[in-house]
Amino acid sequence: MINVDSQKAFLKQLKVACGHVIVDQSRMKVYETDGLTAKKALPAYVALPETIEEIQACMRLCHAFDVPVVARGAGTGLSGGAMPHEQGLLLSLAKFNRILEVDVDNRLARVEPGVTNLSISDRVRPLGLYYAPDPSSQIACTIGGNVAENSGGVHCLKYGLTVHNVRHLTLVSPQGELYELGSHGYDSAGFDLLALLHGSEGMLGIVVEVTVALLSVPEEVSVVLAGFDSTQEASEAVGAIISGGLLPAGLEMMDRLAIQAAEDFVNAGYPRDAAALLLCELDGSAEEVNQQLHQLRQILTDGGATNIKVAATQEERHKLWLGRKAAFPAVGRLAPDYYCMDGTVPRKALTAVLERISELSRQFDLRVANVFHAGDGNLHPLILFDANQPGELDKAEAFGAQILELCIEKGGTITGEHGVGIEKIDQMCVQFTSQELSLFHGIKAAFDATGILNPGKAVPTLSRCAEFGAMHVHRGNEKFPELERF
Amino acid sequence: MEIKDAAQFLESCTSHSQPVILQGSDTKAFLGRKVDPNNSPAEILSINEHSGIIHYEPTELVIQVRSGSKLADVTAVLEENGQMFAFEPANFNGQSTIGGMVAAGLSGSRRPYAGSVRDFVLGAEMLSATGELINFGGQVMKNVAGYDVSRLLVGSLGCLGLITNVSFKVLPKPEQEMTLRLEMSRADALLKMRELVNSPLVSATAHFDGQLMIRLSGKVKSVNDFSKRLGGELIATESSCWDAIDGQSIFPSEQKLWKVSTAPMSPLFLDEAYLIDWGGAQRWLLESERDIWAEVDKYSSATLMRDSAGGEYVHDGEEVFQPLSTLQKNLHISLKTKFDPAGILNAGRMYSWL
Repeated sequence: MINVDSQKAFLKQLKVACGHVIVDQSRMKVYETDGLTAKKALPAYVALPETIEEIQACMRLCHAFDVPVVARGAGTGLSGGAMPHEQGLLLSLAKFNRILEVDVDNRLARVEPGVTNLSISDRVRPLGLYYAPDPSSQIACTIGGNVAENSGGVHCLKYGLTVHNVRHLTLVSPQGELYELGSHGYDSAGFDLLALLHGSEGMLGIVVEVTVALLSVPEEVSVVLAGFDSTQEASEAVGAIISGGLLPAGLEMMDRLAIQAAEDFVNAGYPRDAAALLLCELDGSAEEVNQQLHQLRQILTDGGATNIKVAATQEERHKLWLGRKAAFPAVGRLAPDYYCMDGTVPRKALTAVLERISELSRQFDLRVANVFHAGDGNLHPLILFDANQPGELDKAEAFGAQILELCIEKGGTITGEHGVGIEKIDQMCVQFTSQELSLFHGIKAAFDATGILNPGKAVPTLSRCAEFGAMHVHRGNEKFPELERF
Repeated sequence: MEIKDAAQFLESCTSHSQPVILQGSDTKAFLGRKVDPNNSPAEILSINEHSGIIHYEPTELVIQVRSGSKLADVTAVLEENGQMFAFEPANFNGQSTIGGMVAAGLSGSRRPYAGSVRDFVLGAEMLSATGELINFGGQVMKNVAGYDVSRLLVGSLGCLGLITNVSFKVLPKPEQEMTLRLEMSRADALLKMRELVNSPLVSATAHFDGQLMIRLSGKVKSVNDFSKRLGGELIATESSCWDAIDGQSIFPSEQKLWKVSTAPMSPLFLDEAYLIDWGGAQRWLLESERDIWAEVDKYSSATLMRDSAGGEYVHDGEEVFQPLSTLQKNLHISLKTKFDPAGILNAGRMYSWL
């Protein structure tokens, strides 16, 4: 849509299709970026539909006028997946914020896409139920965005990602047609398009309703903290816990720099002198947790843990988790800027990767803090730097690039949970061959033949493939700095 | 056949529009339609010889296996290490292959309590219809780079490509398992299933013939304690009933066998079902006359699992899986065209029009 007349016609019809349209630049500014604040763009239009019919009308119109559409929930994503398209419509699903039905008998909740992740658990907790995936931004991130990114969280080690906990989706196609995927049972007919939609980053359809599975709140929960004299011992303990037959609800690791930063920030009671610590959460029946706790203590002691602390009460548990959840803002206080990576490697590669990262840290003369989902092998190295020092930004980027290459080399992936978005689009070229990328484009075309949904994200064109990128936070100038992260 | 030969073969078949039947040991011939190419007869490409474990490290809880490997062989290796496929795949005639297990996507009795085949697939390598060897996912627990093609392949019945190897997450085997039998009505059984749905010790439930079967898995002491609380009669041969359900040998073969997937507490076919399992979410019907699809609501689906003859392909022309909406049907056709431009792979196996 190039010419001015058709733009006018589009806008006129858009205002008919949807009751709430914004075109004023100053009011659109809040939409110019998501959690990846380094990437910004102002959309041409913002629409805030209130009904599915309005979404359908918007899509029909955008399809007719060939206007790009970027769907957006709370905009907490970390890879720029919801960054607007300058010629496009930013479709905010913020008004779809109702929990439509809680089906206690079948342990399902039918919700609108703009409902926040945490509010589902908040609603059903009095019934003894909860929704398991818990991305750290769960107080603000929406379930529609969780589907788009296939979000995980601390507890996905045991309870799986979003894809494992969603049963049914209602979607609007790029042509404005309404359709459904999945069922309220455990199987549905045809190809598993429900799985395919998860992590598709707004490229295949607009999610307008989500049915999630609910679980019973576990009878007993226990959190154990263990300090170690080296990251190697801590990494090996991770392997020993898993191979010992334990399946913790969460298993997290922090290194010295992160421990000290967290202690300085929230005083969680972590051992300041430890080189690394593990946080391990066990849940289940009281009897099972007791037995597992016994086994876990043994494994940690055998693994050389210098300091073991068991939190039994809700308050103690909360305190131990607080340091972990505040680790990112805590590390953010150590330097003007940091880069956050999201590579994932097999657990057995953790020791080697962490060693290599610390070598690289010396080589590049940039500090790195590690706070991550050890049980999943999902690393979040934070490279500390100062963008105001000439050359430091380039150095940090080069460092990040080497970490991601290292992850691929060790049989891992460039992104475990933050998504590709616009941020890691070039790195996709390293992880996938041109044949694989072509098939991705084929899948995209099957759902969205004219390519109006979130163009330019998630899958690079074959002619693109150039350089790496990474999340860049300047002077704590992160969107939603109050949110817990990662 | 070597992978490179299979690649050449597929490339040549695509360029000549030569239909191909992709299969492992063909142990699930009962599932889906007979491959019915429009033009020339189909050639068979078997993955059977492409076998072996590529990579298995128990501490990683990950195993990567060539798709022609026998399920029994892989399970034996997992067992030696105290691990298992938590989705409890059935081993039909003892000959099922890993590739077939993934392509059919049939999960067993543990499904509601542990997850499905697709839930445990981490990555897959496949040969495309044009003979390209391509890889998706990997061997790590979390991976959101690119569309999730490896999970899409689960249950695709060979319609999208030849699966050459698959990486799975595996889990520790429980220390102890036992199955209890409690006499009760269907209605009471369903309530009991609801009560036990998230109990960490319950790993399977089924109700038939006026009896509720409950399997417990976990640490020895916990299982023993819980079994005393539940009551009922302990069944000696603990695995046989679950194998018989998952392998479908428990069902009489005089009539058509339907599997209906629905919300666990749904009234759908509740009383008519020969057997219900999966915490109530799966209902097995022996029914030759009624139009089952017409009775299924939009949140449920029915599959014709076996014709009355038993074990054979369903007759040509007849559909087997729940009919799809027009939009979903079009999506399937578009996707199929992207994966298999000449439409040579297992044509008609899933739907007559696919």
